Amino acid sequence: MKLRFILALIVAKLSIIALKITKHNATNMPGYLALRICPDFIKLVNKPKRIIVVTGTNGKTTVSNLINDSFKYLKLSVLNNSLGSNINTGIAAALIYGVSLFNREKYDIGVFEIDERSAPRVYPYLDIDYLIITNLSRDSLVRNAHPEYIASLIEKSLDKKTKLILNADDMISNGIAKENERVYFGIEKMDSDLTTSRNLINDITVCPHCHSELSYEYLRYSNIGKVYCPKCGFKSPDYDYSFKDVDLKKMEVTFTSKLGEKRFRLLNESVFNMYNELILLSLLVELGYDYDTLEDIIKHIGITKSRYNSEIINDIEIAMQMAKDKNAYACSRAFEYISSRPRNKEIVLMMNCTRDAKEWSELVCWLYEADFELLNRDDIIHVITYGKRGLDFRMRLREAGIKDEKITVVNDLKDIAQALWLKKGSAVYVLYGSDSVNGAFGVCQAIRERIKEVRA
Amino acid sequence: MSGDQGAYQRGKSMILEFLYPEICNLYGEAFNVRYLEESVQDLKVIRTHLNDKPRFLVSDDVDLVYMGMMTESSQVLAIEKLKAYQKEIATAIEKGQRFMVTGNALEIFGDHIYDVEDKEKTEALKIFPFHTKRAKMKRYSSLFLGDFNDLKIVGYKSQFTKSYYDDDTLEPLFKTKRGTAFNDEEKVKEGIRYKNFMATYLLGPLFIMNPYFTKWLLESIGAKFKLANEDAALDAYKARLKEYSDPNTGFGYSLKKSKVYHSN
Repeated sequence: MKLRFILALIVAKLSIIALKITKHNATNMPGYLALRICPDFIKLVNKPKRIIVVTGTNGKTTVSNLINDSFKYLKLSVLNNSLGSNINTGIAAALIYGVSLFNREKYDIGVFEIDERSAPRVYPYLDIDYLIITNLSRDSLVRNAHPEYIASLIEKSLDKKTKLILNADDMISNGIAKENERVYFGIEKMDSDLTTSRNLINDITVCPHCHSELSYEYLRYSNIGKVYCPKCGFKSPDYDYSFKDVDLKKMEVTFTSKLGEKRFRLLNESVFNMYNELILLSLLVELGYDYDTLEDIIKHIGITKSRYNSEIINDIEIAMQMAKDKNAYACSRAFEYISSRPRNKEIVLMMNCTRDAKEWSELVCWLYEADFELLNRDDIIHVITYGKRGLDFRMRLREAGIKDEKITVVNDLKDIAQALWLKKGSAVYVLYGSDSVNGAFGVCQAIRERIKEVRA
Repeated sequence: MSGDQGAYQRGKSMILEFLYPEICNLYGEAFNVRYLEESVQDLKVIRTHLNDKPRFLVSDDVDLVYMGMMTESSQVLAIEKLKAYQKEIATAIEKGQRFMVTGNALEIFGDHIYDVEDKEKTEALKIFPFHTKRAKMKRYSSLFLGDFNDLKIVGYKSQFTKSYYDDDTLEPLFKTKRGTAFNDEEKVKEGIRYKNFMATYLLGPLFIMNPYFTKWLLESIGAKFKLANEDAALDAYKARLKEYSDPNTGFGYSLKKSKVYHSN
């Protein structure tokens, strides 16, 4: 064994003890140290016998949590990176926890959520048995360029032995690494489906074979749906695992696999969470579990609602909704959700990359990929934007057809609560991104106090 | 500058040809076309798809050809489709066909694109003497402040590529004040302007971000227009110009170090 590796493992293990003693919560630090001392640490450290990796633009945290919770319920010995980051240092940190000081592995199975961009620095060293790709969509243009680029990064980093679990309804990710063994999951036509895109982002429009315009048998949002080429017959792959007959009243769905059809409990009513649950069931069948076990698991797990919180103070609802900065796709999903909610609404847009604003200036191209048009509704009565990009948000809202009378631009966070109208029986939605989590909590507190003052 | 008679003076509505909208739609650039649709009276937009022959090659009534940012594989596809008309395109540009080309669509009109990692060379349309180098593990992102005639231009760049002029007499579209110019060595020249052909690496909703430039363009076409949401566009433009002119504003983003650096 390489001396460098032994040193890295010892230092990393000591750092865990040091962090515990000093009560520090730096979960990536051991991984960071190990990789600094031994760059091929991930390759050399012993790993659980079976490794499952979850990646994709959206849903990877939820899917990883569902898998972890299921395995824990089954009392399997499972190692994961849910406490650390999803890049190479976080994976290294998890693997350090997973071995003894003598590099003996302590866990049978590893479930790792890995950032799409980190594929080249992690995949080649992990011996992945199953790679799940939830979907690939546009994200920050500065970091991720475009989803085809991310797909090529994953493809280049993959071992031929890894089995892929892919989204048949996402043509961006399901054509990846054609030589690898694969299964597909997807959701059959639903009542709410369309046949033409109403979203600004739709990255799958051209047939890869004859370059003609593609058509959709059904389309959910952006490019998620079942596609076919009217000219040459090219189409989306068939489902190995699928959902159909969604019943939102009973919260049930039919799951179909090689084991047959069975009704299961739906964990959440949103379409993207249906995909997340479907991925879990597909993986469990792949691993050899029967439907009775699946049913038992689904009864005992849930989807955490940390990205959406709501409360009513006096007669006003106040809700915090996660909408990732620079990710037009995620913001459009948040807009869709808000536009389906009851009450007259005031919206506070806080997903404006405050970290960028400290040093340079955010690229606002993503505003013109996000469907702000969904906010142009009579029951959305007021929209507040703030900060350095406030005027850019205002221009985008105007382009969406929202009148200036409905838009307020404030300079500072502390002015937001005062700018709200807080009409009787209305709702306030605070949309926040990863840069503005703390700011959003502060703003919500100020709003609560103002509601008590105004509507006492 | 165009010399030709404006669309509106001809008693016709302006015609804009949007080349390959199904693939040239990254980073909100489709809004460049939508903004003109909202601003120009009776604008006729022809959306030309990959398997169609471009209208400006069969008819002389197209006032503006627009082409925008695309993925690397789409670039190969666009070149493959346009190569069949290489000479006709060059002739149309010589005759004064007006073009606005943004982002990496610019590279299609050069000599070649060389991928330094894959060691692959894609021959381009060879209409203008410049070439492109691409390194996909290095992404350059920068803000941009520049001059166009007496107008100030603000914008963004975010790309895997750098292009190099092979002929010093090739005129740029913009003169760089801050941010990255055509490549690291070139400090001033950005883009290409030849007769009525205009191309720039600036990407995203350029027309919305630069209302004065958009006005200049539409006036030179002779279109009848009123910029949509002009008040909001001008407010945002003025604020951005002030921000980009502030020496304390960082101009480049280094992905590797995940931090911002100050340039120029």
